[in-house]
Amino acid sequence: MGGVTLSPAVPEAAARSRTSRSAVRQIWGSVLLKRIVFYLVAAWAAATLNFLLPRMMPGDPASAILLKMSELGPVTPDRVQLVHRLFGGAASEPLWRQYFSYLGGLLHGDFGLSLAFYPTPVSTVVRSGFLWSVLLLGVSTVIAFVVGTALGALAGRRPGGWLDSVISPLSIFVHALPYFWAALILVYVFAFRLDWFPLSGGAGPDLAPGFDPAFISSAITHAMLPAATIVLTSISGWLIHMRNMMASVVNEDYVLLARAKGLSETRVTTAYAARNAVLPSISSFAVSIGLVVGGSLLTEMVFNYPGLGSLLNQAILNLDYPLMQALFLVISMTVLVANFVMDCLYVLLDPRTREAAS
Amino acid sequence: MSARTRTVASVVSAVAVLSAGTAACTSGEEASSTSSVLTVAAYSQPTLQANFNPFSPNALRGTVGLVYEQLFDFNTADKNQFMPGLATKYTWGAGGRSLHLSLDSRAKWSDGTRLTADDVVFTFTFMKAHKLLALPLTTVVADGDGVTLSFSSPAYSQIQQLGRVAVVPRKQWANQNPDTYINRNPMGSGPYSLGRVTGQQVSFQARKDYWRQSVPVKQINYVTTSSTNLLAQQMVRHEVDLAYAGIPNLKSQYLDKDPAHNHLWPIRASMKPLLLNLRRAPFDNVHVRKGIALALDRAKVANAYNPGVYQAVGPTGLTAQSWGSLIPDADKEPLTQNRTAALQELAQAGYTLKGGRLVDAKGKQLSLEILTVSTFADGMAYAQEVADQLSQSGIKATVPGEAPSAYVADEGKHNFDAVFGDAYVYGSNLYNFYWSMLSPDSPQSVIGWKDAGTTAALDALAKADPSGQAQATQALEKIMTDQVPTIPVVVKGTPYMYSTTRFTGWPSEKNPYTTPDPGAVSGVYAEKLFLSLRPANSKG
Repeated sequence: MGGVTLSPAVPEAAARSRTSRSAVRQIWGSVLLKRIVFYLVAAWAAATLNFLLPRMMPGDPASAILLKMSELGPVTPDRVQLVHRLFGGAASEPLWRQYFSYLGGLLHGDFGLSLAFYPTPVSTVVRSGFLWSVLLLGVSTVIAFVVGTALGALAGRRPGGWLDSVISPLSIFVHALPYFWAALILVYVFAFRLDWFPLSGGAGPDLAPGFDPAFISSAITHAMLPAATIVLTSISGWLIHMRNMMASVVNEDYVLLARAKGLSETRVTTAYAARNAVLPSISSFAVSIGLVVGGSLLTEMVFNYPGLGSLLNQAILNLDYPLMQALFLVISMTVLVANFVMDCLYVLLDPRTREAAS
Repeated sequence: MSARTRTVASVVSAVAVLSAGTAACTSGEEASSTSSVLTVAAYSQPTLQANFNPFSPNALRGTVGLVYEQLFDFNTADKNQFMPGLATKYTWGAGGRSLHLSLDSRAKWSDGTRLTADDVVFTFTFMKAHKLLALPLTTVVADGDGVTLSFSSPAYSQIQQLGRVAVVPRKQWANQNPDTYINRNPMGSGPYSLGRVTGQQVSFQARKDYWRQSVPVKQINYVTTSSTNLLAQQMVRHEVDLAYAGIPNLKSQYLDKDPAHNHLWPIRASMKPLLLNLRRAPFDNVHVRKGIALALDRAKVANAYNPGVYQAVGPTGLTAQSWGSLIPDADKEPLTQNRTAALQELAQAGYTLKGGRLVDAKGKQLSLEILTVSTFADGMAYAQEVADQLSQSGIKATVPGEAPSAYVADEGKHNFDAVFGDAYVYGSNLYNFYWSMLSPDSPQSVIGWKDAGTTAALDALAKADPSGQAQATQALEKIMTDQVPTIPVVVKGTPYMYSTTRFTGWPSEKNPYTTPDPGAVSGVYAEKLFLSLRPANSKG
């Protein structure tokens, strides 16, 4: 008897858990599929815009390169002829043909030859700046996000408390500092006056990039000031954002309930309030992580840093279409990928998105 | 949930460890202030890509001069004296249709083999085959102590371009395409060999077996500097020995910081005229052009930014110091500002002064926009001064600064009233100077000047032998003063700045043994400069 009632119960429970798991998988699947289609369309649109935007800039590469050359020194007529012969054709083909050869090149991972650094291939140029920017900006963005969000959570936990009344006005003040100015001040004080850090560059001039201690320690010393500037000026954005979210969340009913249940203050803050308050920050963090590969134009210009921001600047000044295309493509694709990853994480972090999807 | 807190905690601690690691490494400062190294701020861009192909427009500086050597040059900063390179002498023949070059028989490549006439023949043939020579060259043959070049028309005016050919070894170059070859391992005949190339610096090492002499400066670093602000700091700290960029307030920011060691010699190699669009009325009227020319106080324009670097120039476009013997006395000095005379000229074009505004018969004010590049602080300051002076004469003049790309686009489409930004290089022979400014065939001539007399005069100068060049040049000077196709305003100066903390023996105004314009980071000029330096006695 017991065996009769008991034996079907086991497969039934298993079946129930199986259906609920497959339901989750189904929801996941449809969310994932929709997202993937969306991201494919977005990737195509980004690639097309990357092609069109640089070409909407006025001027032609040959004249831009000549203008730059003439600023450095006298340009003789035979140099002028040479530049026009080499670069004059860059914009002369019909647009649709340029577009298809560009798309074809993308499929093969071939971006052509850079004009500003002619005849170096674009991929070599991009690779030369990639690690510099990704390491510098990646590390400082993560530091700024983690520290800013943590401080924001602490400040917002008790709005009006002593911590809040010190940190919040201070961070608003820092936020208002023009980035460029902050960088110049840091250079002037810590590099030029005090000589604690080198003035500029990515690493010591006599060191070849490689995996050896001398180079790495030199690269880190050179990265300290630029990283400090980025952290200093971006930390307050995260802080203010988190503090405001936190301040509104701590008054929610579920936080009150958690307190009433007698949970520890740390538990209430981290697991109940902060967990919900951090969600909007996470999605903006995705965008900032994506933008890391764009380099930071201003930082890199002030510190003469050999990253992607510097390359982008040179590409624009020289109307280097192939290099601009490649850099924009790397930036937009990384933003898309970072967003995609965050979208997926969001489904895990926030149950409400799962509800909405089903 | 606790699992998640743990991950957050581990991320935080990882970051903490990482930053602690960074802090630990900071104490390991590098100490690289070696006194035998000379540093040149050679690039105003932050990054470099290796390119040691002397025929490429993007060849890194030093490729020509330090690694590859040119045939010869002329010292334009002094009196255009001949400066030998690989060639010790040149002799014209056949009315300018043939040129014999005597080569220095001591010259050797860095692998120890002789540099022969065959390499020179190869270089010219190679350049001709790849359209790298804008010269009517027909044949090159080895001949006696050197080579003989033949031309289809007299080539007197192209002598400097010929001298600036960098000779490459046949064995390395015979199968290369000069348009796309990067040449990572250059083998030249010059005093230096390529050292290390990083993304921000190229270093050159002195060769022990250089054929001409022993090399006094053991290492030269060509470095990048992304902004003039940074350059100023590097120069004050003596991290840079030689630079050419126009830093703001040069005198107080650099010279006054260490007057014993910091020096400046402005090198004036090109002329910057006010260009009017001659396709547009009323600038097609010579009286309008003459009126505008008389309304300018050129000395004041020249001193609008870093006084002493630029210089006012006479109506022929030439300076009396360098070209005095070619200029009639009346035109040697810069035109003086004369508002009355300006008004008389403009009156002939139908403009009268009414209530401070210069108007035509219909009451329309004479107005012009002066196109210039907004990103160059110096260029903007000079253009603004020109506009202010014209405004004081009743002309409505404005300076809409444009981004570099928009500037070249507008210039290329002839979409402008006036341009103040382009400069024309003198060189050792004035043909290229006048040709690039006035010939309708020149890509740099944007004004739209088409005049049979000018074309004839340019042709005559192109073919004139050295004895006839003065006369042929004067014909062009007369066109400049009578018809004012462009309005000469200033001679553009390049601030050549050098520090004597580590090295002495720099060329200076008193001892101009070479021309240190930015070309001095390459070419015969650079070679001469670096071979003439001596390490300063330690005491700084």
